[in-house]
Amino acid sequence: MLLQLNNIFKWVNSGGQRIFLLKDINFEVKEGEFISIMGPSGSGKSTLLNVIGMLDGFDEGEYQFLDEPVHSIKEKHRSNLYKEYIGFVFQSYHLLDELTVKENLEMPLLYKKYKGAERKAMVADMLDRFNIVGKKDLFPAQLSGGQQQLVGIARALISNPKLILADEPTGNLNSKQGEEIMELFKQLNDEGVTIIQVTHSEKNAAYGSRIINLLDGRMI
Amino acid sequence: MFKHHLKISFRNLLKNKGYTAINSIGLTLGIWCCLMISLFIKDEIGWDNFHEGSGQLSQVMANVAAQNGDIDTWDGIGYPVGEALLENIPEIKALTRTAGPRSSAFGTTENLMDVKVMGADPNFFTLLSFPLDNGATLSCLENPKSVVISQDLASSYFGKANPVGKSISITLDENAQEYLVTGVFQKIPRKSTLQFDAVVPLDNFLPMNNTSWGNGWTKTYALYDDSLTLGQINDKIKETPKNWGNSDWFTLFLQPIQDRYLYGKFENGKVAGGRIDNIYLFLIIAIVTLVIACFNFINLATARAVRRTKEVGIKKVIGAGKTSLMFQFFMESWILVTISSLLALVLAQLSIPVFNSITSKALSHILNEPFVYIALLCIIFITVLLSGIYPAYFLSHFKAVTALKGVLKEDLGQKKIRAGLVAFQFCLSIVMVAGTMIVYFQMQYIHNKNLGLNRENIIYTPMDMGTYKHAESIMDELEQFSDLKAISRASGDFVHMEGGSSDPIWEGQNHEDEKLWFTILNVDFGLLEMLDVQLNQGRFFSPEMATDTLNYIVNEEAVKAMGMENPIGKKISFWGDEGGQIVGVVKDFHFTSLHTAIKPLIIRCRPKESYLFYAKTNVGKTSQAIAHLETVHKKFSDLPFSYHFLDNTLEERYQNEMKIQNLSSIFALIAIVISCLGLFGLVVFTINQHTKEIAIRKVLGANISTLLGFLSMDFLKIVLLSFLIAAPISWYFAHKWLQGFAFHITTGWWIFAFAGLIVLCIAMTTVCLLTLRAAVANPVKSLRTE
Repeated sequence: MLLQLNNIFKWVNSGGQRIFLLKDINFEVKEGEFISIMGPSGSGKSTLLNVIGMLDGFDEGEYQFLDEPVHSIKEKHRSNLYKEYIGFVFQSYHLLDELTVKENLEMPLLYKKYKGAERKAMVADMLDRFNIVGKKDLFPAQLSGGQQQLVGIARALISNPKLILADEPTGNLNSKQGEEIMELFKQLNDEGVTIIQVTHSEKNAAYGSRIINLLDGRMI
Repeated sequence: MFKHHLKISFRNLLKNKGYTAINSIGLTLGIWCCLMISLFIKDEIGWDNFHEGSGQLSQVMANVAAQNGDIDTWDGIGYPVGEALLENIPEIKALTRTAGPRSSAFGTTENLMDVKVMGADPNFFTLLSFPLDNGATLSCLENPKSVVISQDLASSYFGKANPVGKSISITLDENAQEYLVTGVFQKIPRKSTLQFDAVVPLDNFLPMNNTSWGNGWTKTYALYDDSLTLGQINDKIKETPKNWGNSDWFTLFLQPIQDRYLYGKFENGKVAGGRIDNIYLFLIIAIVTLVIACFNFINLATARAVRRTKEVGIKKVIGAGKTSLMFQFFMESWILVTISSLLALVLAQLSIPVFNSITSKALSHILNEPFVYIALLCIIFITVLLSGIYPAYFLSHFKAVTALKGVLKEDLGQKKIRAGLVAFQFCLSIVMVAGTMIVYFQMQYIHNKNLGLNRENIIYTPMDMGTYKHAESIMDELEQFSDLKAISRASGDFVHMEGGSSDPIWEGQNHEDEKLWFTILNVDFGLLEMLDVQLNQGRFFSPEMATDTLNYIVNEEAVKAMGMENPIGKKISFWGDEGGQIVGVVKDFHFTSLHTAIKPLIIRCRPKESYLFYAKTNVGKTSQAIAHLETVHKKFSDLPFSYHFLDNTLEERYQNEMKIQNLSSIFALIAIVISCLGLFGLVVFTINQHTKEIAIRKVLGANISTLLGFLSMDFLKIVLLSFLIAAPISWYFAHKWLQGFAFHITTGWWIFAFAGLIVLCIAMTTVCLLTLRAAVANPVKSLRTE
């Protein structure tokens, strides 16, 4: 078991009213799964992903990640947890504009205090695996959207996370680029990486092994 | 990691060129100010502290009771005072007296020079640490006709030969006399207030009245026992004049010799500042400019933070901790400050000539001085701390999710802090502008004030032994020259009026002991008329009246001080002159600076004791007149000719104020520039934030003027607020500074209003130019990006 959510509630108070963003969410994810979260705009897909990724908190319920009770551990411990086991992929790539491809890939390793030689090897390995060795000294602005997302995924993968969280990874790409990215996810999943993605598209959702549908913060 | 931070910081700075430029210009100016001021201060401190026992080595000072209850403080002490102190106060361990230095003709006929000769007691070189060259003994001033000379003089007269035992001629008064060289002293440290070329025994300076306690022609230095505090020794010597000199109208106190340079101003017998005031003033200015520059940095950095939220978010998601982020932002501040410091250093070296001319210092290659680097490191350290901490903390504390969403709503507190910082900057700017204006108006006032004498076209030239001996023939020759309107002689230059005395006794004096301090001026016939001094009663001196060389003219202040009803014909006697009477009263005119009120003045007609030639030239004939003066001078003297314009001399006494005026206007300008840079950055930021709002308003039909009003209202409020705070502060400081002048302008409210208006105009120009650009932009463009 990788993670388990039990009765998760999240709300905001607005004008004396309590507005629910997530309502009674229950599900579990096993290692090696590929899950797609679907639903219309405002249904709470991204909020759910952020809760799973521990970037955002929740107000009620229990969340177990690798048997650690996320709901009761300290903030510092929690951020260590996600930094070690989770990689993020974003719709708008979120690469650091002033760093080259190589440096973007190296960044997470720096924060995890890997040694220089080790970092070099891991970055080279990743560049090779994604077939972007030729682009290593370019800045994000010099790449196409698809290439940027490729780098984004490579960066998420570089420190060997147990789980990849992807928030509409193909949202900004054209259909051909999108297809390539999805194929990549499929391949990574086959290699054993657990993936949870948020998507609008039925077609992309079909790559996953399981689909969770959300409406107004509730699973249906 | 460090290398990585460095790389990111550099790329960030390069990418945002405008931001980097604004920040580094501001910081460079601020750091440059600090650097120049620390150089100035370094040069001002540590004077006269090279003397051994400088803790207890002091100068004897006199507090003299003036009329109207004031106390004047003098550093000139009567000749017998020193002896009395040594005899009666056992705690005074040693004491030496000096006189001069006086410009004297020195040397041999073929090599005659004008050098500064000082008179001193024999133990001068024992008590004060001016080391003698080897071979010289400390008893070198025992022989009344001995002289100790500087190394420079020794080498220019005797080359490499040993000068000791050689004889040389010195003209102190009228006649040249032979002196025996008994020693050579080493180069006097630059930071010594005593500067001289040769020393002779004090007796050679002896004027006729050396038994009077009331004449102040020697400077007296004393070493007191270190078991006593300064206060205790001062209590012991205070009443010396009363106890042993039968003079109760002045008291004595000691001032440590190393304090003399910085604390030279006295009020009511107590130290009231001096050069130290300038040090404090400039220290405050340095801190203020640096603080303004740092605030700029903080403002711009936090305002720009919104744009960097994405970066912070990403980094947090991929594993960055707060510390590491803080470190990165701190590094950026550090890089920027370091670059600015280097620029400031270059700027400092380039501006040294200007600096020297304003402050009359003689700095040269500051880049070779370790002090500069130490100062710079301190400044960098302070600046980084001041400007780096808050932005680093602020930037690294965004929550990852909100940061990634991109649009970070600024909370009200943030905005208020920034408005506060800008208001503070403008407050300081307005204070500085108002200060500069006050100094400027006061200087104008001084310049245009009617001094009671006409200083236009007056040249004076000091006499030397040659011209003094032939003064009458020179006067005759000058008389012939048509470009000179009038010629005469006097003993003073109307700035440094030496020769005060409390000796005069006047008819109608209440009791024998009543003493008044008079300034004594010796003149030749015609001098007062030449200077257009206005007569109140009686007449000027006249060559037709044979007895006039015994008579006196006094000023109104003296009449008042002596309490005379009908001054004309009243007798005055002092310094061995009996039988003279007052023949005229002149209207008060300023014969010292406007810092002090006009003092009682006695003018004597003593052509023989007037050592300066005065000449009034015809308008436009100045250069011919000078040429002629020089020709006549050369006829009678081998010494070089020198001349001064009276109006220049009068200006020079306000040198210190001119210095402050120049420096404060420079600093005020810098403060405004930095503040406006900050405002500029802030306006750019605000407009960026409001781009969408501006576009929507335009689409809805707002015209440019309403947009301008809406955008600039916030800034207008800030500047107005800072004006309200700044006005009373600047009034207070202006008032304090003007108190230092006995005659000064009144500070009208309009000066502060005008200063505020200037700053407001500059600020609003910045705001309007930028907002105008935003307001005329095509709204579709800004809406489309959403």
